[in-house]
Amino acid sequence: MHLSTFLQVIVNGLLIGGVYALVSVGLTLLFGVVDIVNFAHGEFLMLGMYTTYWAWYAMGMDPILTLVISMPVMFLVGAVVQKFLFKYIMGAPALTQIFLTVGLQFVLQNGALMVFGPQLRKLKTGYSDQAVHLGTVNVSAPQLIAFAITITLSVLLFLFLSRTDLGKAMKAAQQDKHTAALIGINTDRIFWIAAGISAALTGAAGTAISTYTPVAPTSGAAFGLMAYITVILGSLGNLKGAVVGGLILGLAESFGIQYISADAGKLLSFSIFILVMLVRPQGLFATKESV
Amino acid sequence: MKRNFTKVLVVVLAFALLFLAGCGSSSQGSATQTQTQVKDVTIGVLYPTSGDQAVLGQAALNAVKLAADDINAAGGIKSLGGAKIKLDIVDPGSATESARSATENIIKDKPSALTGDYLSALSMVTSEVAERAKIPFVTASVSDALSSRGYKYFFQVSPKSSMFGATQIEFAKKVLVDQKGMAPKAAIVFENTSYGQSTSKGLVDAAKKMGFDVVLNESYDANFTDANPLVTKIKASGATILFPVSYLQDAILIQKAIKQQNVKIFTIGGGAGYLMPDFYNALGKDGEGVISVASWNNDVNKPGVDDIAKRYQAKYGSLLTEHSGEAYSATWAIAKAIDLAKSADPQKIRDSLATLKLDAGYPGDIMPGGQLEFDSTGWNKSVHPVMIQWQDGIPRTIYPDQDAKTQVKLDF
Amino acid sequence: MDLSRLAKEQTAATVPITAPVDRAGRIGITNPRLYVPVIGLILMILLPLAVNDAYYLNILNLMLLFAAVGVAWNLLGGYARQVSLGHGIFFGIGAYTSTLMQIHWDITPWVGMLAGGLLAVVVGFVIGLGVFRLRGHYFAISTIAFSTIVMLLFVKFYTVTGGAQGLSVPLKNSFWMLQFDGKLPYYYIFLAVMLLMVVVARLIEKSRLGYYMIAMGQDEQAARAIGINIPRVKHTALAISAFCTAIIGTLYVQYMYFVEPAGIFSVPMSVEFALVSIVGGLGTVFGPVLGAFIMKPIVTLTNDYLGNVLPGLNYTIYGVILILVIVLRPNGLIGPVSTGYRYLLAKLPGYKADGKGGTKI
Repeated sequence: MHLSTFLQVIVNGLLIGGVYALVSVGLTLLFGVVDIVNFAHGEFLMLGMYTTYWAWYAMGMDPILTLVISMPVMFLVGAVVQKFLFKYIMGAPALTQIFLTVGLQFVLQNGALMVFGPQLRKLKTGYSDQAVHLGTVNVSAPQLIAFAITITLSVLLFLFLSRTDLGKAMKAAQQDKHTAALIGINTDRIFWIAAGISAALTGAAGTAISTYTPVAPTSGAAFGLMAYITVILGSLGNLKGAVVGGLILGLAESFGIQYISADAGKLLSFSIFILVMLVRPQGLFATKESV
Repeated sequence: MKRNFTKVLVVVLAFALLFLAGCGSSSQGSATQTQTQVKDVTIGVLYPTSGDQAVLGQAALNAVKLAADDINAAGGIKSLGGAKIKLDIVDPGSATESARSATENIIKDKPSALTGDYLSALSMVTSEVAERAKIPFVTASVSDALSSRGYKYFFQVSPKSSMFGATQIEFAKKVLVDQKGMAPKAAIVFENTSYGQSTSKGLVDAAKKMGFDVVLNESYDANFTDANPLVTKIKASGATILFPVSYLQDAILIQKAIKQQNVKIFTIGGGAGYLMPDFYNALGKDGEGVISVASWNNDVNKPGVDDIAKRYQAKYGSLLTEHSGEAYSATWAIAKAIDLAKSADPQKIRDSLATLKLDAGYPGDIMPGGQLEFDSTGWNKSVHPVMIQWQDGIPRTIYPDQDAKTQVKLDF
Repeated sequence: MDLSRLAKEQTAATVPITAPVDRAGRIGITNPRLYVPVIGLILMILLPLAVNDAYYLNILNLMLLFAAVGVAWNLLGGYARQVSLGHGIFFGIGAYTSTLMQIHWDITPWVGMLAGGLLAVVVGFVIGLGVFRLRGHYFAISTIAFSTIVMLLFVKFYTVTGGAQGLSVPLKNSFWMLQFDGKLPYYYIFLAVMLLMVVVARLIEKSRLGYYMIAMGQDEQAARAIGINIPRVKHTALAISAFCTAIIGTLYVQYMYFVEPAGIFSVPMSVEFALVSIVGGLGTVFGPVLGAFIMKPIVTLTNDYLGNVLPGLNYTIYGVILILVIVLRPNGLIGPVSTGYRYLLAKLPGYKADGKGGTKI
């Protein structure tokens, strides 16, 4: 085993994991506050990717700067979906939630096909195929940026939830809807804001990913699947869990590919997921309250 | 207990009746016939225009449309009094079930022949349905399995997937190893799909036969979101030449990761993604000079090819790529068979296809190799793959010499 | 949305309806409660003769097949409320086992389907060990993880499974090899299997096991408190469901003649099994049948007639219907349909109200 290869495998794993964490933050926030698992999450990501692509295409903006467009646009999408759709399934059994959002997934994915067509669209930037070279180890520049966005957004979200009144109200609403309403919190408003923030975070993830991955109507699906696995692994609604879960899955995938076989990445990461579930049925970071 | 039973049986019935009503009205609709003296000849066309496979499906469908227009403009089917070709187009989707239903839907309209399905998995289904319905099906799918089943109504204009590897390795040996002095250390990676698994076998066999040291031979998950781990593995293998069999997204991500990780390796693509205009567009200048195998290309050395490619580009605004060229050829082959059969009867057209040999210079005779002619398994027996290189944004045929009009450019 | 109402409706939907009987304990043929279903059955038997068109017969066949597999899924997902999104595993095991046995040993699929069923029970037991401690979303997503793992394994070990290229069923038309030239024999086989599944579901619903499953599905804690052996009930429900799903998987491949891992183990396939129950009515005998009879024609017809008009339009319509059903009728469409049916019965000659003052749905 070469040391430089080993280090590269770790770096690859961390970068992939960072992307998984990034796409999972919005999903876990939505569950944490609104109590919904959105199976159309990957499609929200896809919409974020298209927003960035078109902003780059039409205005020549730097892809990372398009965050100022993709985040507000996706905030709006999230808030609207909450007000007109998710509102009806809050607290409903998992099954009802799954299938309503599966319906939404059908609509968004095929709606995108009707509007944008099937072709892959790839934006071009100076850094999309650049890398930072640390000795023999290469760190993909766009993925490093995605990693930085993950850390920044997670910290901001953490600060928002713990320091601001709105954030505290969200936490209160998450823990007990009725009590929150009794002490004068407008839970309805809290929920659409939270859904909006969740979608905005997902839009940011889409922006980061579109710097190095082409976008098509089906682009979100693979990321969506990884996001569900990530948030379950790290316990639904737990921000730290999403980040740690993403990194574990990313490292497992990278090690599986290098040291088992090139098609064993997901085999290893999903098997680890199943094993963790056996030992901790509520994920790695389950707290007593979330039972 | 009976009550629930009863209840739903009636529901079932109500739906069944509704359904019947639907069938009745639609069959009336299709019964109305054209008033023209010469009846149109219907060809059923199945190309996926939704889902993941939509890009190539739409492109190939356009080529079939162009071929039908060309055939009709040239006077239609002469032996049938200038009958026009009419296309009956249905989307087979990307799954077994939808392909089956779509094929049956087309057969309902009594076509004279079928064409389409560039995906082998779809062709497996369509060919089976067509075989049972006794309607000839002419496809450009490449899987070896298709023509190995002893079907009588199945015809394949394209080279088989097992042949690609031999062409790629032959080229690599001749040009890269013998002329340029590269070490014959090959890494073969392929997506874990039907196309990847069937093509890679030919590659590995040919590489071993031609004296290559195969240092890596692995399939990878086609749904990956990141190619860096795979490329790290390729780099660690120490290979000098990479033979990836990839679709579009993975091809793009692999090429980008190779650049990011600064891997010194020469890539010879395995067709599919490496041939698509979107591949070049996504990579920009890094796409320039990329070499790949192809089952057809828009400048193979056959009469009329340039003209077809030019008109296709003018009409649909994109390059005429491998599957589309084959689709064009398949449509003309069907037209010729109908003309020779002097009938729109599927059985006669099948018999005519089985003995068909296109004249050199006939508009549809654009496949590399000899004149289009099917052997007893239904395969176009003289066809072979070619090698292409992206030069100035266009895939140019560079090998074998008799098909190529352009020289390979290697700047090392 | 008023959740207590939702919970109440769901309870109501799973309450078994007492059979209408006359004083002697039987219902006569002059009662529409008997003669309507008999007429229905006769019409179902005659229906394909009237259709006589391969394309529409194919849709009818798929409706019956997915109704049957929906009922099988519903045993675990509906009554026991263990929302599996990995039933494609069992379906695929059924399809692959019988096909491999045919290819290698020339064994009839009638035997192969039983072997596949048993293998599915074993695999189901192992998966059950992994997921039965999980709840809600944790359970559902873990079953997706399992089906992804199984798909990757089937592709990886291609020397055994045929890999990504898939397997074709060897052409041998005969009843013994469960292969027919036309579609009509399949129709009757699928109809028989669907009716059999309905009877099985009804028997289970009426049994002690069914009672345990329903009790557990509604409140696991309470069910445990009254002494129900939760793991055993879950494993039993999964075993029955997996066995039936695998058998229908064999029928499916004998009808399609082709199976590939990317299709049969895919998430959309598993989702479809569950979807027919959601649309029809979860935890009801006829819910999945109704769901399949509505959704299957919609998806096929929209695909074949709209697929080329505007690619994507077909599945957009499908998604919109799904959303509307779940928002407007979270308990499925079986409720209003059965109300309408009872109304119809009451209008027919020979109708007698049952002596118990009527049961409510």
